[in-house]
Amino acid sequence: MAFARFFASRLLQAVPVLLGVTLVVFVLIHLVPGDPAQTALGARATPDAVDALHSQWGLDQPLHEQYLLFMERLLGGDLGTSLRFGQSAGDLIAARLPVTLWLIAYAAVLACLFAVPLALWAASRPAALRDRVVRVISVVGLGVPGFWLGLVLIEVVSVNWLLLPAAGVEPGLLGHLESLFLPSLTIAAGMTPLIVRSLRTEVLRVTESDFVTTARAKGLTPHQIRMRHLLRNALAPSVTVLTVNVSFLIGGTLVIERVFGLGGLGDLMLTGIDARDFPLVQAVTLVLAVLVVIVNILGDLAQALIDPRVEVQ
Amino acid sequence: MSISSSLSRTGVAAWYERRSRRRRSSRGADASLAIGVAIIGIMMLAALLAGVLSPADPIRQDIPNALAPPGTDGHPLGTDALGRDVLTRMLYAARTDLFVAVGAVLLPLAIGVAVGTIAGYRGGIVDRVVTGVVNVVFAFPVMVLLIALVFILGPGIPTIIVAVTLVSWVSYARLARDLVRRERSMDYVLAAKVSGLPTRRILGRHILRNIIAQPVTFAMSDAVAIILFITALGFLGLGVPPPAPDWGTMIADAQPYFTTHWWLAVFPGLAICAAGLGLSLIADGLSQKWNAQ
Amino acid sequence: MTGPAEHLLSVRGLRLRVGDETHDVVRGASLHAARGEVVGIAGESGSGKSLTLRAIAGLLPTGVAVAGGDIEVDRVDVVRAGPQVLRRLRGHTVGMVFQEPMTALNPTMRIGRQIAEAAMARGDLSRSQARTRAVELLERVGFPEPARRYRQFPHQLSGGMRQRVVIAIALAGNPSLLLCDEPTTALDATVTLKILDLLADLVRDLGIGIVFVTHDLGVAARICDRIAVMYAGQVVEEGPTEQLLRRPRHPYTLALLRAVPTRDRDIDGLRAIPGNPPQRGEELPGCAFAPRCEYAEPECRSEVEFVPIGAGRSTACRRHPLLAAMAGGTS
Repeated sequence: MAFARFFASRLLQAVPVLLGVTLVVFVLIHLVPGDPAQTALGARATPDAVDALHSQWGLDQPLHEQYLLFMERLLGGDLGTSLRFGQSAGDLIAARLPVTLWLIAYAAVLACLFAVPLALWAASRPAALRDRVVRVISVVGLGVPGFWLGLVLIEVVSVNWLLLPAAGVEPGLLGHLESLFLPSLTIAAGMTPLIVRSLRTEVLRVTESDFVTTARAKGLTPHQIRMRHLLRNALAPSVTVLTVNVSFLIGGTLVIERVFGLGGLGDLMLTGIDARDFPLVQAVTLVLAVLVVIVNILGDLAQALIDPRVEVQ
Repeated sequence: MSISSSLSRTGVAAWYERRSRRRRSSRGADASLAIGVAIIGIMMLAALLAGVLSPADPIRQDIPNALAPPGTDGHPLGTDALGRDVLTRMLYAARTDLFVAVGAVLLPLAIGVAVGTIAGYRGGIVDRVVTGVVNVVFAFPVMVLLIALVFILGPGIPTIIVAVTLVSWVSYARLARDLVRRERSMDYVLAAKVSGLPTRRILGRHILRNIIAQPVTFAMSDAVAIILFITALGFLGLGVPPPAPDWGTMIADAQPYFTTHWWLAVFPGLAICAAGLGLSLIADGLSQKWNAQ
Repeated sequence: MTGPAEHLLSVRGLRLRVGDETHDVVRGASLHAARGEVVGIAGESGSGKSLTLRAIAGLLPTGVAVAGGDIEVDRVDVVRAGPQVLRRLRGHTVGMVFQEPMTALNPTMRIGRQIAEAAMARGDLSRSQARTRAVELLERVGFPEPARRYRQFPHQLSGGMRQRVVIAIALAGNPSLLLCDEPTTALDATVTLKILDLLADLVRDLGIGIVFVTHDLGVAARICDRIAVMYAGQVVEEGPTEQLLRRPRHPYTLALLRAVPTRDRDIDGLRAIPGNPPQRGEELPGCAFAPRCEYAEPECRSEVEFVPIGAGRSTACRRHPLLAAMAGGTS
């Protein structure tokens, strides 16, 4: 089937990118000025301890040997060992991943809930008052720093209004929905302007296309035209917009987790940074990059499902 | 060119729609640009004149007068937990943040456009290598790679600029490459080649001049993101090392006092918002002007 | 006032205005069409022929409005009709075929559904009946294996086949009037002939009327019973195809014919029309063509009237007797 073939080819395309990602993550540690083992252990570390770390990280071997070793471990599912926790980085990440995934998905859903109606509303009367209002909102929203907005929201909603928890994650589905609402809202606020802009342009492009005139000539109602003809055609490019912004979204969660005291991957990475825990930072960076690659593949697949022309290229 | 010849095939209706949209948007574009330039201009000026404008020393501590509210004598926006004047620190922070932002926008713009132009024009193996590298960097979430790089390279202004450059040159490279590839096959490039112009001249004189508007427009919208990245780094403690002021660090320092001394976090936050707004207005105006052409 | 009973379509003194401008782009165009008749509107780009056609279906683009005159389709007053009446009109009475078959179809919807949807817009068919009707229509417009083709997407079809789908959509509501906006301009010559034959068959078999907008007099000659020639927003000459093309009674028609290559005339015989069409918004007292006309006399620049000259013909040229005297002026 054509779709399966498309899926396979898309997976194949991801292989060199993933290889490149591992290479970048591998190189990171060699960018450390001076001796990474010494830096990691601090100035007072004994030469023996530094030597031990050297051989553990394989720094005493030639560079290509090191990369092969790194890849061998990776393919065996070993993401390295955290210095700070003395634990497998993979296990640490697995424990923290759910919160981050929750945050990403929740924020994406919220962003769509805001952005789609706003974009449709703005595009329904281009250059009219509503269009300008939406444009001003998105221009203003673009420049608001998420970490600051998060602090303001905590102050207003949690501290003053006593409405939602200010930090931490509550157990259960409802607990998650409630306690992750503010952080997700904060991330969504940063994404919404980006989505509104591109979606508005797309909807306008589709609205002006000839097949909408055809649909009007058929005698369809405005509602039928919107549901059957506009939406699906504007959806495919919107999926692209969303996947392109996933990189932004993940970056956003990193900072927002810190603001709201959520123990996700971002928090883990920053903890690793505070502890000069190179293997942990490398592992988290790698996992987050792989996440972006996966989301991009999913986005392409979604697009192929929406638009029959994609498979053919 | 007569109006009727520009109408060929598309007809009156399409012509009218294009024209009226162009009129409306060019009016909006001018307003956006003017306001944006004014905001950024004033902020830049204030940053440059920080030494003259500010009432106090940005790093001098004055513990007895700590946490004074806005409107206190000599401290229009109050003082922080160490008794330092908030307004003064904000003005000096504007200096740091805007300066870093300028560097972190111009450097990737120059490098990205250069690499992308060469890749797009040469094609072949050069193009494939550049495209491969670009795709790999795009796989990393910007903020994640940025944090990792700043951590690895150590703190400091040069580090931040280098890290941002390493991460964001790829956007420009991809954009320039695609534009140049399209331009390369155009008749005027062929004509220049036939007339024996050296490649450097063709690229510089002809191609670059025709494609540069888009990367520059993109740079302005990228600048909005860069300001947010820089201040977020500061907030996470990975920014400009203390005691040099930076809006993000100021907000991080103010976090414990938010409930009792809101102004400490609110004013620097508003400063970031203003810078972001100014830059995104400029970007908005430029991109509308560009679309109208 | 209602038009003569046999008139399916009558357009009288139609004026169309673009947005805030003070001059009309269509300046008093009149036209009529009966069942079983193909009426052509010919003219250069920008003459207002496409806008006139879209006004008939109430599908004027945003920013263009009717500034005067009447349009009546099957006794429905299109100019004053509300959105619901217009929608009914489009579903039942009027079908429309567009210039670009590449863009006139929804790329993400199966062609069969696009036809069925149009069939259902009438409101008297169930989903499965509409489906059956769509398959019938596909067969009617020349698709072999219509049931299988039903499930194809537009991008899987050639330009000619797509245009057939557009025609099937236009026919889905059983219209009595088909509006064709340069339906063959985007197609190859051989495909053009097939589409024209299909349209001619439809007129013969279904007894519908067609208004056919084109800039190509060759195409118009092949399919139209009558032709109205438009220039600068006005109909300058109208009459039965054969007579109009053989003995034009307006210098603009004559000039258009001289610009068309034919078998009897080699390339050297081709003549471009001197000058340019009037700029939009230019004051045009009198005949709009006068500044480019080799037969113009001073009076032409002050007054113009569209008058019947017998044998079902009308012209806006004061000097039509002169043209009549140059018998067989073109061929």
